[in-house]
Amino acid sequence: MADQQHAGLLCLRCEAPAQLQCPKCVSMGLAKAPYCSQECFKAAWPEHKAVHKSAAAAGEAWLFCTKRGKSRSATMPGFAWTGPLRPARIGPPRTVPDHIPRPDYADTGVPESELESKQQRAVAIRSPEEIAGIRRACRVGREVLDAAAAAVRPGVTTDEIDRVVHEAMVEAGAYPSPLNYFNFPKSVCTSVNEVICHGIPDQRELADGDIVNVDVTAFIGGYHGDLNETFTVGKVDEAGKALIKVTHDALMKAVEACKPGLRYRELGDVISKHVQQAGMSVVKTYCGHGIGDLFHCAPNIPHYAHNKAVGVMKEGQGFPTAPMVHRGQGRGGLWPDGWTAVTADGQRSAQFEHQLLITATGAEVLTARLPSSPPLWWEAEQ
Amino acid sequence: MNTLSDDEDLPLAVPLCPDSEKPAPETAASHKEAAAQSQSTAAVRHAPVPVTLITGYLGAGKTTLVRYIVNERHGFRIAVILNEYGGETGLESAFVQNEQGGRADVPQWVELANGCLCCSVKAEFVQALEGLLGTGSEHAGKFDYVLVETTGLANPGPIMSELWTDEELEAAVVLDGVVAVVDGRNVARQLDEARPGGAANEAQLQVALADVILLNKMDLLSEDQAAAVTGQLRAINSAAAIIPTSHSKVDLARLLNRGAYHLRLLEQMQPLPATAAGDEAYAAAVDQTKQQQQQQQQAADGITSALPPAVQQPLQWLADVSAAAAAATGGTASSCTASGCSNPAHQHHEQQHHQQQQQQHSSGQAGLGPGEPCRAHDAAVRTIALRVAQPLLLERFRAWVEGLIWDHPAAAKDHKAAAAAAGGGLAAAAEDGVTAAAAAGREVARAEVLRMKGLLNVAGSSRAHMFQAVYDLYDIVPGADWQVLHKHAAAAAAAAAAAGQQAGDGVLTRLVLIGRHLDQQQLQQQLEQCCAACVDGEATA
Repeated sequence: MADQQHAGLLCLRCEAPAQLQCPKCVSMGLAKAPYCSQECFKAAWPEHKAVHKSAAAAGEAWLFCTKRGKSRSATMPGFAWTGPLRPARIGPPRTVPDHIPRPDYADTGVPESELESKQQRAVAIRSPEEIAGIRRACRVGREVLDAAAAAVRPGVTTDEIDRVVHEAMVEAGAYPSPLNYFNFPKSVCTSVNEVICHGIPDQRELADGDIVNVDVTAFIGGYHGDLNETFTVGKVDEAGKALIKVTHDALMKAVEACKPGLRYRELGDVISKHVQQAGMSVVKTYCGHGIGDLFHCAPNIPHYAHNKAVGVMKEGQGFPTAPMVHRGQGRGGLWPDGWTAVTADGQRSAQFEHQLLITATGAEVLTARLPSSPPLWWEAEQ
Repeated sequence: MNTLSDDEDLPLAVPLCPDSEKPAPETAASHKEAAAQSQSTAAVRHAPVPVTLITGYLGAGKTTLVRYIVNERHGFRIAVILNEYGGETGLESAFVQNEQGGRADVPQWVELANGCLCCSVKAEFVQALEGLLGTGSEHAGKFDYVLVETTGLANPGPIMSELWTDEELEAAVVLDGVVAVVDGRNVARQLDEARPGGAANEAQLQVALADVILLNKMDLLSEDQAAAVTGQLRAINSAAAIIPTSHSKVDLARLLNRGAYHLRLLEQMQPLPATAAGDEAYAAAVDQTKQQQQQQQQAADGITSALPPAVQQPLQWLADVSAAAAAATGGTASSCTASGCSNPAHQHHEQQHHQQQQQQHSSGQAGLGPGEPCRAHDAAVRTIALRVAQPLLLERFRAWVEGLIWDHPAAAKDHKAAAAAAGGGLAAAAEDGVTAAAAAGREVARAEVLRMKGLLNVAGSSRAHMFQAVYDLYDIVPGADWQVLHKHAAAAAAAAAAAGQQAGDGVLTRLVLIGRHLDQQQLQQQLEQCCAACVDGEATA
């Protein structure tokens, strides 16, 4: 944004001191277009409006995301919003320097290799080499998430969180996995309040009382390291805090249960049981990273009970687990941007995710919190 | 890429804000406008739509069936996913050309004159289904069933397990059943075609995994031929309903709403809400048709419709499994003593074959020793039935099943090790059996299980447990109490007696397995080792 002082701005048409500006440029996040009066603005309009068009075409404008990221719109799409939250405009795309190795979808949007892996039903057993690579990717993911956590506070936009994540990734030599995955427009998922998952970072400022999940995935050395945590913004009510803690504890209970010989389908039972005992429910509509929320996404370990996940845990297997919890019931809905998943009743949803490695006796948390990790709300209150 | 229009209206210029670098927030007024324009796309809970898969070789009559569905006024509202338009389906490609964008990733649905919807996909049908059922789909509420036509050589297994979604997911679709259309004249030859490595061929898989088999081209078969083919199909899959047809003519009510995979769906299918005033009459008619169908099917099975679903479902299960067990080749031996009887279902041929083999052996020729499995028959897909009276230890039963379906030779390598780790003693015992046989110089192929269905007597529970496995998925669901089941099963006694099975057998576990290289004796032993009474679970020599 321009550093010029207000007093110095002159009308673009007649160069008299300016009092007004074009509102369209303001909302599109373009450089200010000052005018001295509505009359001058009106006269300049036929030529000036071309600036909006070309800025949009050049990808410089802040616009609403539509069509799963393939398109943008200058106006907020219509929708029967389920809660108070609304989408805001998203910023121009960020780029990753060429020297950083990119996954196959970085340029095309379509992850060919993953579509093939959809055929896989079992969780692969990793070689020591692969484990080392995954461990490193998870460590980078953890460090980047911690950087994002440190940036969360009232008044900060989720776009700003995206900037922090993006820059931290690049500095670590990693590619931010969400970027252009099936045309996802940003480098991290930020899910506020009633958003279950896959929220797109935008212009909206985090408000005191919000809860926000930040989901980071780092692609480095050929592996993805994936984790997420839900944070409190400012002062959050007891219900919100309880929701976050229950979700966190459900995940940790699942981690404790993991060991060679445990059936994958039982993780959902463990998570479900803990969540239901707290009077909440597991979000069932979104079952992991795949597209196609109607069907199995492979390889997939569901978080709900009575599932038919195939296989039994064996030493050397690595996989993520990411329960989503909410207080309400019912299927989730999808915003017009095609990505943002929201609860049908507008109630808040929380999520935590770790990536695990099965050891001889249990599970190692590859994305474990570090002593330097910013405290989660109950840790801060001690 | 953007949607700015050419004729933007002049807005009111706003004051320059000296302090704030941030753009002005959207006003409440603009939100209201946007909301006012919107149509509701928030998720509305519909009952899951039943999906039926249609399999069958090219030329079996699959396309004739599909043509009937898309052209005739049968009163069902079906969304059909085809392999391709044109040709035998009777849908001119010109008819659909102006609807098609020509882009493979956006399957276009076409509404047909008889109320059905139709779409052709070359790529994954999953995308087509999502387009049909996804949030805000324009077709919501316009159909009651989905039919997926698979390609002629498809193995239905992977598609079935993809569609057999966890019911907790409250998915929009539920696998309802698989219909295999079979060419009565050519199926015998098709079933015999060898595949490299001795793998099961597609015809065998299609028959094995079907819930309904349309035995087509009956008009071209003599009575004897028909009986022979029916027997052959039953030997492969004795759990499927076999419907003889000519020119694929069948009452669609017998194909739809089979509920083959609704283990946990205790409520009967709810009708979809009518979307417009004119639709209400139609919806009512559909409801009525559905009720009639259900009553017909239940009447055929001798079950009264006055029962709550929680009882009805396990009762149906019991009837299905009992009938399948009775018809299985590995089941109770035929008591037919008619000389010169050529009824293939009576297995006279098999008995003769074994007698010959044993004669050869005892006269020193190469052949089988007494009690050894016949290799030729083993390689074919067949159904065997197992039963055990004592209660099962659920944990051991599950480990046994997992060893069978996750340890499949054709499955991913990782399954083997994982299942071995979990199956513990039993899988190891099975492994030992194979190793021992190999050491003795005999090649014993590992059991390859495609489908399992059963009603289990579980230790520590008075409820009958329904069990089903297909491909590499399985599920066990507790049903009604045994006592309640038997009380109502008396009504089904007539049908059961006709199938050669005694009703009121008491509380016991019945299982049917469809697959290859199934050693009846060995599997029966393994099942018995899952019993609570068998303490150490070790294989007995």
